[in-house]
Amino acid sequence: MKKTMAIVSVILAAVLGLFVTGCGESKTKIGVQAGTTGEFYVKGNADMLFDGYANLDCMAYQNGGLAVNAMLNGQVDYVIIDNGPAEQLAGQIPGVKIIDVALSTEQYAYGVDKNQPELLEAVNELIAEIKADGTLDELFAKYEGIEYDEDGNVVGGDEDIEGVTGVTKDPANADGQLVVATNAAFAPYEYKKGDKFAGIDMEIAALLADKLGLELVIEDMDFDAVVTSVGKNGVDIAMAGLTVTATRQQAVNFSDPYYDGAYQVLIVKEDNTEFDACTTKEEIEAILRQK
Amino acid sequence: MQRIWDLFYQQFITYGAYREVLEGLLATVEIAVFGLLIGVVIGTLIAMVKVMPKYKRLPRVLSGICTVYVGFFRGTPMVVQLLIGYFVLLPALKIAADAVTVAIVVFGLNSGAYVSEIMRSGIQSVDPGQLEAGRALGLTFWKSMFSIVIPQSVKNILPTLGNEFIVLIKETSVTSFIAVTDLTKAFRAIGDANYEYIIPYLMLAAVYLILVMLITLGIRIMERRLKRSDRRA
Repeated sequence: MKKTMAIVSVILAAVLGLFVTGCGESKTKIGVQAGTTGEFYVKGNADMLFDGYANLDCMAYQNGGLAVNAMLNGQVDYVIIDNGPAEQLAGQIPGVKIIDVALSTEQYAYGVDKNQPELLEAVNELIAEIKADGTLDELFAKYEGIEYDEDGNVVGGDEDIEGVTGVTKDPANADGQLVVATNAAFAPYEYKKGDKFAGIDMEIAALLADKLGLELVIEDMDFDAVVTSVGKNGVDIAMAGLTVTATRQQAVNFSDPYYDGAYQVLIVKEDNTEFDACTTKEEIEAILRQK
Repeated sequence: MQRIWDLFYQQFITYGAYREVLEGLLATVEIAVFGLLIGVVIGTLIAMVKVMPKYKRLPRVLSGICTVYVGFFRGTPMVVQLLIGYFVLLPALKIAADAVTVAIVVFGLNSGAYVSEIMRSGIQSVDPGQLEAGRALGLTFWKSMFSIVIPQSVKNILPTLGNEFIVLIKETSVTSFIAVTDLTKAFRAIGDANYEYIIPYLMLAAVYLILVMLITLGIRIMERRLKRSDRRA
């Protein structure tokens, strides 16, 4: 009996000790969305010329919303994500703010299956068309027009956002379908509105399917699976607020960019004043490196 | 083939991804080991409550609580428990704990539910006469349980317990849902860097396989050691 009690208490002590050490080591943590440029930015990436931060812990979440929630819960200190979703998140989630200084410069484009050069041509044609006739600007304006109150509820501007519905993938009808891979947790580019897909990329996907006379199939998956899935299992194109990078270029053919203004930004809690004085990327990076 | 090997080598050695893999390996083993330890403690307690004589009120209440506990943790997926623990319970209780700690606690609670059933079958596999003899000699229920029945039952359940450990090791692959860098996440990150997943994923499978084979070997050695006191036929 005594021996058993001794063993049990040793085990409990070990578990307790682990908790204490686990809580004790407090590296500053940055939340990111798994597989995004933000993750590469924090961890470092030679192809994109990011040095990375060896002094910070990078916590990769399934999407940006979860990362921001984790920050509010105190599980990470800051979040780094693309400017588009950052604005949406800061609008929708009370208690956070954006430090609006570009930490990188990026272009968004669509990733087309390397074996379908004719699809790439069609996508480029469409992008040129909607750029020329103002449809693209209208789309951006439409999604920027969504207004939130201070609790993060939508109070207007989303009346004419209807969302896009895809059909089910049918391998027997592969030639008649346009299969789009996306990660519908990246507003305003793609997100779920009820059971429909809304967002700039999704509306362009619908336009593309119309132009090609194909049925639209939308496959919603984790962001880090989007690029990989192109060209496999019938997926034709990745439309997911995808930054053009040399590495991704090896896996897909990028279309012409449809958005040049993308960059990574820092999201912090509203009461955080550490970065308020920062106006340049270098200032922010200097503070982060000293953590 | 040469190209993807070069890419893997570059990412793994030159860019230092092996450090993340080692961290991931540590997290995986840590979660499984400590999860199992917590699980064994909880499981043993539950199993004893379940086999306690039920003619007093307290054991009946305890037994009811245990049934609900086991029901919840066996009836919901581990991922759901992780998500609830990390994104719902922690903020509600205003505790700041890191993701690995959350994973350990959830794995411990989850495994407690499974181990309780393993333990119960182990306790019941010991001849009831053993407990009766202990009670007849004047030992309390808990004392005869701890020093007579449980030690004998451990020998019977060791293989099943080892199985539970193996399950836990493999199940840690879902902890990336709450942003733990485990083995799976570490290798996936290597693939993400170049979108070449063939070598990272095959290596990943190999590492899990080696881990499980080591555990199996360890259990076999323990079993052999415990058999020494057996009566030879």
